[in-house]
Amino acid sequence: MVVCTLCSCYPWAILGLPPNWYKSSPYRARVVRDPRGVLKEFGVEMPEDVEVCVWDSNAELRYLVLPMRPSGSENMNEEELAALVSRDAMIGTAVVSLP
Amino acid sequence: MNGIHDMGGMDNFGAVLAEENEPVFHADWERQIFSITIAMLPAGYCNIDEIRRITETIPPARYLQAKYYEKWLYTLEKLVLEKDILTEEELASGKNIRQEGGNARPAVPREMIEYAMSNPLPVNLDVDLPAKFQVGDRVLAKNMHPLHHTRIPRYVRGKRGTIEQDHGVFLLPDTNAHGGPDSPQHVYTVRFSSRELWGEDAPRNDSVCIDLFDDYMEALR
Repeated sequence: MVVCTLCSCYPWAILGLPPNWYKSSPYRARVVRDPRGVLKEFGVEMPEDVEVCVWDSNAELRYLVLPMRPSGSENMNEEELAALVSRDAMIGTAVVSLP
Repeated sequence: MNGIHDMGGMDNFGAVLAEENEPVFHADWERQIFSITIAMLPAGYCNIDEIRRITETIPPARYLQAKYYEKWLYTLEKLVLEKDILTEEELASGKNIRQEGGNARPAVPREMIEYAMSNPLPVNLDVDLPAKFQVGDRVLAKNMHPLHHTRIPRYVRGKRGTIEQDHGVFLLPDTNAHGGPDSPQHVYTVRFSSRELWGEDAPRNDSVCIDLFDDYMEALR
């Protein structure tokens, strides 16, 4: 998951301007401390054996998540796969799933 | 400084609320203030660290209650005064009293905008400086509490982490936000386990990665 706890740094050049929630106090304060709680609020339940890593973009590097390819998508082409990816999946608050 | 902006790890802010079909800007003034402030960079009035430094001076109660772009407006108002682009009287009256006096000069020409936005200047420096740390090193984030601008948040200070990646050389924001001197140094992604940061109740498998400058860390033996 990606955050900027100190302000609102975000990969503008690739993802455009961030949603308000990304820049809000609740997200900035909580996601480094309780990422699984934040994921639950976004409807994502992460199993205990999966490692959650939160990236705080506090310097001039900008980060985005390469979402995991959903199982069952093996026969999809690039265009079909691209249509599955959401902005939130690239911030890390959503997982990509089949429609 | 240990300001209100440094909120990583604070509790009791409530749920993360996402707005449905949120517009990029909620009002025209937001777009205008955002654009003018961003234009200050290619126009050469200031650097990004100075902008952040000013935003961090918003008094805590106001900072927490402000809408996002209200913080940008506060920052822009302080910036134009600090850089002598406008006087207090001009800012308050909305009138161009000095007739382009002070440091006022044409901003980014319209024909330059697309180029400037698509070709942002790289901020990493193409210099060969020795790195203080290597990938794999165990480090201690310093227990530093400067009153000046810094980009090491409180929640990692005094904590132990591991160098994951060396990103090369950048200007230290701590001095770049305050008119120098230039302090080019290496920036690294450093991984801290969640238990190191938050105690034994934190999930075993989780971690936080954060980018720290040479000056923010000490070697751990």
